[in-house]
Amino acid sequence: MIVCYCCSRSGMPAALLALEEGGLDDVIVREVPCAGSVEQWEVLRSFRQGAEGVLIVGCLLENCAHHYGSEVAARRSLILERTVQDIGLTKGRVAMVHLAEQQSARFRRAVEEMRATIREQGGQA
Amino acid sequence: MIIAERKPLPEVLGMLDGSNEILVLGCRSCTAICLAGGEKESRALSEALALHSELKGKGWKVDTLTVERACEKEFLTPLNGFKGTVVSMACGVGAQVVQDHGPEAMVVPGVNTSNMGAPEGMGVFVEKCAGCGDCIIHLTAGICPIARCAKSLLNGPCGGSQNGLCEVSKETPCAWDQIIRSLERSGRLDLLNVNIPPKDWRASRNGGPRRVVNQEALPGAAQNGWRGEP
Repeated sequence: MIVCYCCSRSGMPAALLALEEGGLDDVIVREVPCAGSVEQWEVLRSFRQGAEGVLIVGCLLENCAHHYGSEVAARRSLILERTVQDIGLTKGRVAMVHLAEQQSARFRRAVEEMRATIREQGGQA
Repeated sequence: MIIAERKPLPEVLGMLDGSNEILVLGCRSCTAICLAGGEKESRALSEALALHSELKGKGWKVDTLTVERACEKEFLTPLNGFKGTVVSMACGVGAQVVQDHGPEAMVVPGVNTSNMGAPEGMGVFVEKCAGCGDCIIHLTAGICPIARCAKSLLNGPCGGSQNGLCEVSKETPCAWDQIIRSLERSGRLDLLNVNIPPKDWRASRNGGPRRVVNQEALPGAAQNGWRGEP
């Protein structure tokens, strides 16, 4: 199961489009006002609730509806990736993807890449 | 405010071996402002510890609580009778007050307390005060040479001051360059003629832990003594 925190401006429309196209049954989408509003504890709790990976989906850099939310989220995702490795999970569990609202293919590719990485490391996705 | 930064997670995990019940204690004062030990950070650490425990089968019971100010016992009543391990996300002061308040608990630090400073920009915190106990910033344009000069010089810059920067680091402005420019702006360059004598460090850390008593606030009998009453 991959949990995707999608910002309401870009991430959510792209994710819904990709979900409509099918093939993403293991994806859970959570809408957030901005990718930058996703807190560390929320991501870590998702893992406790059974997520195999967490994808933070936000606007393109420098095109964020909240100016620098997407940038904050990108930095936070790097910190979280290190944190979950310190906790004992394999790498590639947290990632950030920047996209525009019509780029459902980019969303799908990010999910598939994360799924592949997790499987490579011996986990389930 | 007091500036702190989060300890690396592996270090915190290392301190928790043999624990059973863990409480991550956040503080809404200084460490919350410097984004090291507030409610969000405490919740994040709590979730991380719980996840680690589940993955490794440690059997920890992890909870989190954030108090208004961990350095005042009045705010620590929710901890009454707690006998487990407290991971303190408050500064070193808070951690020690928590340990005093609950001698049966074991307090471990979740942050490294660094200095007394202020935010310079988003996410950047700079030391401003060294707590030397004898303030002289009226002579130095409101800029503390003790805390902000690498050598704590009192009467002008050293030869390492280059283009407004300290030789110690390119990110550190020379405090004396700032002082002189600030005095120039305010037309108080005459203050540079005031010879600041060698500092009496007895008011600083050199005399052991310092004790400050505010006579006005002393309660009851102690206050009578101060008034000269029997």
